[in-house]
Amino acid sequence: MALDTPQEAAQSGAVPGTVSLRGQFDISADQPLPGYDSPPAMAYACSQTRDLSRHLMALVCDPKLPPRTDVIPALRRIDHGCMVKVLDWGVVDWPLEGRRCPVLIVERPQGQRVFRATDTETKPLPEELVMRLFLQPMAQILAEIQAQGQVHRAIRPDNLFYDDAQRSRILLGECISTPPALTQPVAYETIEAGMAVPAGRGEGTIANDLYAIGATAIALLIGRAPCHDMRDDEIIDSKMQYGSYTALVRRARVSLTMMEVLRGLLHDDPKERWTVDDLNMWISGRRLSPKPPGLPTRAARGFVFMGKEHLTAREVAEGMSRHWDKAAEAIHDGSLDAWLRRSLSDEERTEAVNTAKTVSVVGDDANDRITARVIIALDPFGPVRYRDFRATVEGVGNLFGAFVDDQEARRLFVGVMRGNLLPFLVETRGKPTPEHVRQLTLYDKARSFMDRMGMGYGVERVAYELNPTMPCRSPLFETDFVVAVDELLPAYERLAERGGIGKSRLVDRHIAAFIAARFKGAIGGELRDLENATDENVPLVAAVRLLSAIQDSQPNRSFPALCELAAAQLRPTIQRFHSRRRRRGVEGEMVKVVRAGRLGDLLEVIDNPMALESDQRSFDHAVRLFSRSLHELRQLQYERTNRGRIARDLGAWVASLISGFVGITATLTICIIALL
Amino acid sequence: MADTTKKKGGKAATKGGGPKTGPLIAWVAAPIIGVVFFATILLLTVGMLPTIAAFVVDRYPRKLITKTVGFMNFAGCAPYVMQLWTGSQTVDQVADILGEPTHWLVMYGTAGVGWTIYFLMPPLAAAWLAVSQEMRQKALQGQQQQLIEEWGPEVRSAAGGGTDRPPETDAMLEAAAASAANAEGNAPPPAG
Repeated sequence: MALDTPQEAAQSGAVPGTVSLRGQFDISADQPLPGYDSPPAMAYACSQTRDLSRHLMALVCDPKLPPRTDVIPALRRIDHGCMVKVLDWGVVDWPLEGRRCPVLIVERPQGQRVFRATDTETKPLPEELVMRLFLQPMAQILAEIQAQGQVHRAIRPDNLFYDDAQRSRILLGECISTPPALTQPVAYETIEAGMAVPAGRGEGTIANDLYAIGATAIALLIGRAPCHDMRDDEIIDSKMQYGSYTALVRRARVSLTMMEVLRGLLHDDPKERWTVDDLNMWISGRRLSPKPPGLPTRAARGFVFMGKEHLTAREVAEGMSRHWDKAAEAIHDGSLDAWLRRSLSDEERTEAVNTAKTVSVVGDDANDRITARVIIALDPFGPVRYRDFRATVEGVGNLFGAFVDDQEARRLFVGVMRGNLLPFLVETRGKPTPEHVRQLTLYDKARSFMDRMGMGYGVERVAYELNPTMPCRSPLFETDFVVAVDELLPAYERLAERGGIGKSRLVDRHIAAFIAARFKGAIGGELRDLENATDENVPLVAAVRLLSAIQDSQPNRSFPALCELAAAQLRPTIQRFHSRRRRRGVEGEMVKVVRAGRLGDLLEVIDNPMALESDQRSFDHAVRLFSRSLHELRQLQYERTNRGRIARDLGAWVASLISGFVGITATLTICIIALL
Repeated sequence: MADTTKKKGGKAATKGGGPKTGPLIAWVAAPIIGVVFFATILLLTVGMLPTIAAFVVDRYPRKLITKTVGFMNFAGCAPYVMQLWTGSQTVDQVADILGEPTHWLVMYGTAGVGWTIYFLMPPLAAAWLAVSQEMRQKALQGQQQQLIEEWGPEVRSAAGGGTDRPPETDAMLEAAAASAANAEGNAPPPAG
């Protein structure tokens, strides 16, 4: 989604105005601040209600690209004057979009951007200023970020601001409005992260931020973005071929002093790359000799693939990933093996490729899996590459979360997971880091969810498990932004107030997966009942029961509109009661409890087991009565048809009784008279 | 099994051989009674000839016509039997009684009353049946209607009465089936 500007909104008829965030901040939707936009987030004037003198702005984020709200608490603890401070965040009804959007409230820098955009040129800064205004504060900020266990991942020239007109201070912009590294140009990313698609770069480590500081420093020194005239793939090829420092500096003149820090920060081996401490020591005056670029093993003769000569295993891996369908041929015809043995002479890589090929794979995607494994074997420190799915280990979940509704992305993600590519990648790298072990545990758990297809499971559940800040992607909440489970019922309430959900189900696959991932209560039974196909009433009741469980965990919150919506959804289940009188009674009670806004009360009325059982018993009795009356009617009809014969028999019988009575009476009377 | 037979045989023996002594007593008593009450028997034989005729034409297994005519016929003969018993009880006295035509009128007239009762009752019974059947049908249909109002048409289908036709139709179909069966001699027994 691209957010609308006020002009576009005016054309579409939306009326901008002031939007309040929790009554503490007033956001002026009609006062955009394009100079402070942080694409895709857009900046608007903002004021704090209790302190109008503060210079603030609101960044309205793209709801499809969830902001990193989970890092806000940690970053708020960092009190450094050279970092734009994030004060608060929330979700507001944004009139320009006609939907709810996440909004960040940040301090507004007093000066302009250092670079208006990534591709603009500006006056180069002297080395002294780069060191004093940029490297020195950034090193301090990174130290604090590292102490908080976080990363910034948005360090680039166009995210730097002057804090005053005199340009005496540079501020580092915010890093929360988009997923990590999503908007970073390839030049500011390490080779590994640059090879991944932006959404799949993952959080990375502080080493990625240090690399970005190095690349940004070059931009400040030369007055333009490094490699500004090159495509992304050309930048990556250049970095692989010459090393990042050489590729980014190119023919620019850099002093030996700066060369030292830049080589250290832009070192392509993360283990050799400078740490925050190294940078701080350098700033405090300790000078080290410049580190050599540390280029990988080069082959004596290049491997020609798709008309291009590749000299390193990583280059071959990247070339194969770009021409996926042709890669399988090169893998199977033996040319790669021959090149690895004869030209590269890297026993470790040769062995890894052989291991990658020996796995037994069947199915349509067998070639894809072999290719992906060979690419991993050739470049174990690169991202996982599976056709167009290219992500770092920690970025796999982010990438899938960004494209969870795309069928092709789903197919590729399932391929990555079923092919066990991540464990193979970590295994090929050697000794796994604690972070990788944690990631693999997370993916293992996710895979167990992926293999179950019921409601609350499947790929949707995986997406929510791997992306804690991903909003619920249900079509019901298309115009809302629900990140936490306690925001779900208020969102339903708004939905119900807007006019309900038509014939849609109250809980769809996305909502079920969202609840299963975020809600800690015991809801296994409800999830199973959601897909009950034998009784159509069971899923309806289970959906409301699920929401009721959430409401029970939030005492003293009532949702009358949601209750009314739930009552409408549950209306067919009244048919479970056979008694018409009881049905009318239940409907009447539903109307009463809806006003109270508690879903549990509604369920007690409509899903009371004792009442249902009693009704069933009474119905069975009524059936028996009806059956008996049917039998009697049949008997009656038979008697009607044979009435003449029955009347004759009955008449004869009655006649014999009368005659007997009269005859005996008369005889006895005569006898008595005769004897007297 | 053998024990049971033994027990049954033992029981019969202790009762004094009832089944065996009955016919013996009858064979002994009947000639004695026939001799002692010859005049009475003669009178009743002649006086109850209509009952004998009714017995001949009676097709009811329980001999209802015979009973109807017989009770009244006997009441008609009773005054003359008493006259005989208070008299000499001879054949001559029987001849005197039978020689009076009014006595014949009384004895045979009461038998005629019996026949009259027999012929009057069936039409009355038919009329009563018609009324009571109508009332029963209305009561049953009312009950069904109430059940359907409370429990819906599904109570009828659950009871096996079909889903989309009224009970009257069911009854008509049942009646037609019963008539067809009756024509073949397989009619179900009447109520009661």
